[in-house]
Amino acid sequence: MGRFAHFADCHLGAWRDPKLKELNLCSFIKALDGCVSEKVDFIIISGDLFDTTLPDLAIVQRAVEKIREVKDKGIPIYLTYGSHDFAPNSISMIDILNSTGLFKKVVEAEVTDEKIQLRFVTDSRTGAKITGLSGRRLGLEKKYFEMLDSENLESEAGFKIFVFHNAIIELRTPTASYSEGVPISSFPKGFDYYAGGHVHENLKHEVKDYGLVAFPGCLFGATFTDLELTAKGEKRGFFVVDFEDKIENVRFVEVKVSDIFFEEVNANKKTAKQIAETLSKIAAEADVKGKIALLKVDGELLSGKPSDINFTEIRQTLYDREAIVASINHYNLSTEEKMNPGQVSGKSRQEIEAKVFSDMLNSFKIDPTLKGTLKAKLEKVLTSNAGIEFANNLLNSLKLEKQEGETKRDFEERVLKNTLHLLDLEVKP
Amino acid sequence: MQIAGSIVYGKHGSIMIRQKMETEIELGDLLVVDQAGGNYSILQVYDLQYGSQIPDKNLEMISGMKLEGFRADMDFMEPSLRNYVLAMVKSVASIKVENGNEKKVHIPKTLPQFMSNARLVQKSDLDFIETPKNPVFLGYVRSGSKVFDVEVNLNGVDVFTHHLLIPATTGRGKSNLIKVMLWSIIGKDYCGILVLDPHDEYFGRHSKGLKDHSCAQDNLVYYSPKPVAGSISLVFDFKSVKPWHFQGIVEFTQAQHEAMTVAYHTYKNDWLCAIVQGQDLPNVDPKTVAVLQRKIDTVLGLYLDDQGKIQCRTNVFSDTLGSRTVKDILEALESGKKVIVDTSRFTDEIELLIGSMILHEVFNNYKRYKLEGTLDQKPVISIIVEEAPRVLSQDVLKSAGGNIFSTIAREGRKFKVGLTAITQLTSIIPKTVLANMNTKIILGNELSSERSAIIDSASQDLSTDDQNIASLDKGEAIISSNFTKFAIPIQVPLFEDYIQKNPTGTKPKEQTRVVL
Repeated sequence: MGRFAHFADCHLGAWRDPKLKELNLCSFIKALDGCVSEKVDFIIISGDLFDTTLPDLAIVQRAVEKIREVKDKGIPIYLTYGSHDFAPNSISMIDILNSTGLFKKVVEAEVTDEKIQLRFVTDSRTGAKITGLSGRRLGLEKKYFEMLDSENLESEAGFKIFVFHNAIIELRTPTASYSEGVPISSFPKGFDYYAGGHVHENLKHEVKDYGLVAFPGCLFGATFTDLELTAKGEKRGFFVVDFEDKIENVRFVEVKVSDIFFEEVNANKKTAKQIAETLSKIAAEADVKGKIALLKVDGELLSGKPSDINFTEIRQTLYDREAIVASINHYNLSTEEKMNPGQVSGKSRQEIEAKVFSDMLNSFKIDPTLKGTLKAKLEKVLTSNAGIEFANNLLNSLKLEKQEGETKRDFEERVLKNTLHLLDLEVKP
Repeated sequence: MQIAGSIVYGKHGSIMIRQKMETEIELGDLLVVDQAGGNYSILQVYDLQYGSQIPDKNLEMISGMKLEGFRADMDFMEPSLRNYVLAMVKSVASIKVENGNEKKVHIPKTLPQFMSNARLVQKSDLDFIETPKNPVFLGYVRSGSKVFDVEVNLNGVDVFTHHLLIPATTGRGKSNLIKVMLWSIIGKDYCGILVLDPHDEYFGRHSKGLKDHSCAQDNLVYYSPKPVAGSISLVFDFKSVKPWHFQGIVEFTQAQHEAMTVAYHTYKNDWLCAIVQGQDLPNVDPKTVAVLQRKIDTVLGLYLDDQGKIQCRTNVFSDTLGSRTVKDILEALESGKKVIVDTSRFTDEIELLIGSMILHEVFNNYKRYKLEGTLDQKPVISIIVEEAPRVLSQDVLKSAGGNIFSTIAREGRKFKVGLTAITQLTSIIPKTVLANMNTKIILGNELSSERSAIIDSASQDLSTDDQNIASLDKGEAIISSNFTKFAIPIQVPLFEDYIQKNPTGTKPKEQTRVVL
């Protein structure tokens, strides 16, 4: 009998806050330790091991040490790119580490006549056959699925695993915040296990004519929305799958690195003063010691402005009471008093940014004198939802911070390369 | 200019024209009578008959003599003068040149000059037909069986908001018309169209279809229980189904309706599962629950398997899949996309239930947008429903007291939600509903009672067009609309010819740079 672990969306290097960055890494280390304890034969990581193409090198170093330790114990790791750590020019950290043999990227293919013919990677110990497709930004993986030659994949005998990094349209939950995804009909049929990533929730479904489709969700999370979901009961961890010719058993192994305190306050029909008192009371009384403390306040204030509430002071109270991290989400807090016409509200920073981009894109017009490929390219990336996603990704790419020891030139080059890859451009040598 | 005939007598709405020898006037032909100042009237032929200067008895005698061999070589003297064809025409439009060269169409209120000549219409006579804002293409102008290269487009926002009726018998080109219309508006975001496709014929699974449009990738969404690669499985979460979706769609007794409502109040979104699982419903007779279970099994194909798990025979309802299907369809429609739902494998009841589930949400959303004052920013949404009497007939509306389709037929236009109803049996749709269908694209119909119902509810006076409608060949149609000054005869092109003639709409081959 064979056994493998499946996890995804580690997003190593995410978070500006050093404590959250550290917790995120801890979850990865804990997951790998869990895989060793579970005595798995191999590990599958379905994309987004790193949060960016070229992440914080200090984080990379510690992740690599752990991966090496697991590999030395005879447990190979198979993975794909995710939408965050993908690089069209093969300059991502995944490619660098893949070239050292630290893990194996399973997307091996021949591209002929607009068809993608994937090859299987066979795990030498168990004989499991693994293949898959990388995640891409702007939903470009959808095009790859359309080009996929499924016939040879479906006719292959043996225990087969398909690794991917995108949502599946028919499996999305009503509250899903991730972008559209790919329909199940685009996938090759008859695999025993479809190892999914990109979806930050833990889902597992048997799909007729296909097989078991599993999304383990993120290991820790890369946004406060992920942490909120965890606080509301979403389990974080990975799947352990036992198999012979077919799947025998699938278990979810929880990975918990910190408790989270979360409380939501509705500000409708309350004054700014009342909300300030409520939040201060929560901060002063809640048990947040050694926990991540998240407060969320939304709704429409009866009077006063959000800026009348001293969030810094409330956050400080939480820190004084020994919270590991304190965060107050008030992005969706507004007031009945006349708002600044340019003011936009949303549930999170990301949503507000998306709304602003959406407004800007509505008034954006492509230069009518432009023609041909450039015009088509601009239309493709700068209009509708693709435009919003592109702008968000570009913003994230430009948010990168200079690493300790990194020269200014190297940092600029890193930012430039990350940005260019979003534009699908290359620097001419 | 070729003279076709001359006005001899008649009255407004019924003018008699003597046909010129060697000219052939057809039923439905458009004729032009020129007037001073570049103005002209357009007349349409609605009937044809023989005329002769020789009394009937004499004609009968002459005919008999020739037939019986008394004087086989006998002929009329100057036959072109003595025997002729009389065309009955009506004046349909009066074109006046105003402000220099601008042609304006008016409803005719005067008679063309007595004894004036009429000629066959030419392309240049039709240049007053302009392409409106937000066009939907319907066909080319037709005069009898002659087709002119003049496109007929109507304003899609008006047409879809104020409902569209397509009456015709089988084989007259209804599906072809819908395909042509949809092809012309894929990529136009002023309207979202939901197509319930009971024959799976619009997408083009095995032949040319809407999938071949260059904008299909981004603007056409196809749901099917047997999806082709890249299309979406048609599956709805049990929780998407609500008791009110069945109203006027599936026949339940009063007691059963009440039991469903109790189940919904007790188990909320899990009400359907609760009934299938036979869970207790407060104050409901267990026998009613048992009957309801059987009915849900018969209608939706939901049953409990040996492990106590709910299964669906048609796989269209699921406990794990499709929880976003209704929301996704709504989002697609609200962004002006065209959504085709392949219902070819389902019963009528399931097809209409799916339509009802989506339409309830569409209608509620659009009512909310109106309340919020944002309706103007939204595209018009229309649902194309075949065999419309299934939801709009007098019997259905009387017994079930209405459904979401009839509600939209009555109130939808206030909220930019419209119906595109296709039917063979116009006569069983109530007049009140027909009166709300402000555009009708009338295809051929050999049933007199159906033609009467169509004529009675048309936007223009078609009382003399009974023969015209009866003689419409495949693809020939008459547009009667509140948004046209007169009933326009058209020829709907064959879909395959239309997309060939319209290569800009054909999908170009894209080069993809593959980086894995």
